[in-house]
Amino acid sequence: MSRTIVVDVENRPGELARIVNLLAARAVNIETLTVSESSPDNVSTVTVTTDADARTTEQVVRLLDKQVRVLSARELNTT
Amino acid sequence: MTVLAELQQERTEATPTMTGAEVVCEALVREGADTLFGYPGGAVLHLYDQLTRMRGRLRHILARHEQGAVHMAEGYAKATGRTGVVLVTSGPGATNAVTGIANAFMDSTPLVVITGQVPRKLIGTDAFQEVDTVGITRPCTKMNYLVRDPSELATVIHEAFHLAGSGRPGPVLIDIPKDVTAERTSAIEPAPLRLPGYDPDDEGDPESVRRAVALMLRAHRPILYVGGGVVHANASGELHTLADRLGFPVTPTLMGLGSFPAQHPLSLGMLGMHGTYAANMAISDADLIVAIGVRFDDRVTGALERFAPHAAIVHVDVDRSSLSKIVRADVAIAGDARSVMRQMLALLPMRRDESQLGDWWMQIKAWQRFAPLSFEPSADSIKPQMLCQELALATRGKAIVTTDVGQHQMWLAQYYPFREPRQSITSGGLGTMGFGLPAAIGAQLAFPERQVVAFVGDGGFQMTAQELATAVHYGTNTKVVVMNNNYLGMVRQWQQAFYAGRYSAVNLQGGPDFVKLAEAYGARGLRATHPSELREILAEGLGTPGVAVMDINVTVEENVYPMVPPGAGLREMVLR
Repeated sequence: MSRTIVVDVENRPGELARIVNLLAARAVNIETLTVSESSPDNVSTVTVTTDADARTTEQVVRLLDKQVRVLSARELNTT
Repeated sequence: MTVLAELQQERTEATPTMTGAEVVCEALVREGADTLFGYPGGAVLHLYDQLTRMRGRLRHILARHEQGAVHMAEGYAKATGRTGVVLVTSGPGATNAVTGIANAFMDSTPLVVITGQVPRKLIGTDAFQEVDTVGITRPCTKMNYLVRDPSELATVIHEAFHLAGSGRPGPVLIDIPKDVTAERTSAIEPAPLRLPGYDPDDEGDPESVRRAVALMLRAHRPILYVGGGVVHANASGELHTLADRLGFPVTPTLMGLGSFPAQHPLSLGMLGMHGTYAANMAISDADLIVAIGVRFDDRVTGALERFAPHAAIVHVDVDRSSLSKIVRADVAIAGDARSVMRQMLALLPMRRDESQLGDWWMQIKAWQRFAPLSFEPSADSIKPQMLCQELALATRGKAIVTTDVGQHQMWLAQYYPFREPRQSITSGGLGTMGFGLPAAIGAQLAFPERQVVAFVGDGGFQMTAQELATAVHYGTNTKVVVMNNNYLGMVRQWQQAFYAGRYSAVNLQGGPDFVKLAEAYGARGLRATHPSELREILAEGLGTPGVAVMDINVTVEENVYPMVPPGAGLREMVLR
């Protein structure tokens, strides 16, 4: 089952690398990756889908949320 | 002077400018730094030049290797609770610093590390001494920056100190291209902090704290499991009050040593792989574990599926991502250890009904009697455990003692009665050989009047022994006790226990004569080889002004016990 993680992050050099590194370091495979910018606040929204299990996803979301430039990280509820 | 020239002069006076290097140095002073540990090189020449104008305001300590510089800054930070500062050059300067940075990251030590970088227009060209420092250090820093404009410097440095020291502390790295340190800027003062994604928790959620306290009042077999988070939050006083008021037993992790006095009647000693039998049995049988500022490290829990099967778990940590990371908490509280313990104390009665814990303490005392820490004394060989006991006696248990990683570290943790936080400075998470000596130098420079001892093995000592030069050069009183067994002892112990005694690459015989090595560096060298000499050599070495190295030849194949074998549960301790 695919899970979707959505990260709002300040649009600065290196931040996407930080997010992707963090997933790679925990051997989380990325199925799809989308980055879009919402220009007024200079915030990027990074959307990742992954086949990681629920527990790994939960941990990764918390780690992402902890990053200084990350405004919020959450798992999209699958219905 | 022409009118035009006067006008120009007025304008310059109205907006003063500084070079990037000046901004950096002034910003460091503004943030409260008084000491930098570092090593110069091409990319930081402007910064080092500026240091010549900072005499009396910023002291630079020249290490003999960048790894040593970072460990020194960490020793300084751990001893004082303030942020340690490092300055190194680009390329190999930065890569040599990485071990130290990773060590600080694992042990949550606040550091600001400034690295030089090649000039902006050369970045990405494989220039001389160029390396992608922010890329390399991204996974082992709390935050890192590549500064592209001198106008960012003051703000970035202000942010870096704020991030390093707040929440869960950690190292922050600032990579500064050489030309940025030469260029002038009018941005001398930092902009106000703007960190919309960063808001560390202080007080815990009140409802969760209430639930935790209710569990604490109901528990019949409780235990407080405390770690480095208590030290970082300066929460030892609150921990003391909490334990006293509840009558709960306390077990510290390696990083929590000293946060609760080792000789307090409520202390069970350290838990985990080489923890005490009583601590490990108590945590295994507990009905409530109150875990504060800890992260359920694998060296603490043993086999997870057998860890504390009957216990409800309250987990307090300032790092939300640590909560329920390893062990699912029944009550997870994100918050500062001191603030949360204060919240708990406000809800607790002044004195708890002690009869509720009577049976529990009887059981704990039985465990303590059954298997206290012990070793077989010897008349003709210095037992390493005895060395730790004698060191404790000789320093009256009051020294700041740093270690590397391995057997000596575990024996010291078992036998040195740390009574105060920040007294034990060790490499916990990363387990870095060579940490002890430079960390001791950093602690000694922070507290010139205190007794500081680097307690190291003969393997680890040789990884950073060159820092003896630093210790001597700056006139420190750093003392080094080398627990010398001619082996990489912990690896040897594992090869003996789990690889049928096939020793592979652990024999260090034929190494240098540590007494002569000390003398070569201008330090005093002493040696003890027989138990009858030990007390005298320690007294003489510790009493020598300046730097002294005590080479203590201990029993070569002694093993650290008790031990939880890898893969076993905490109950399955091997006692000896």
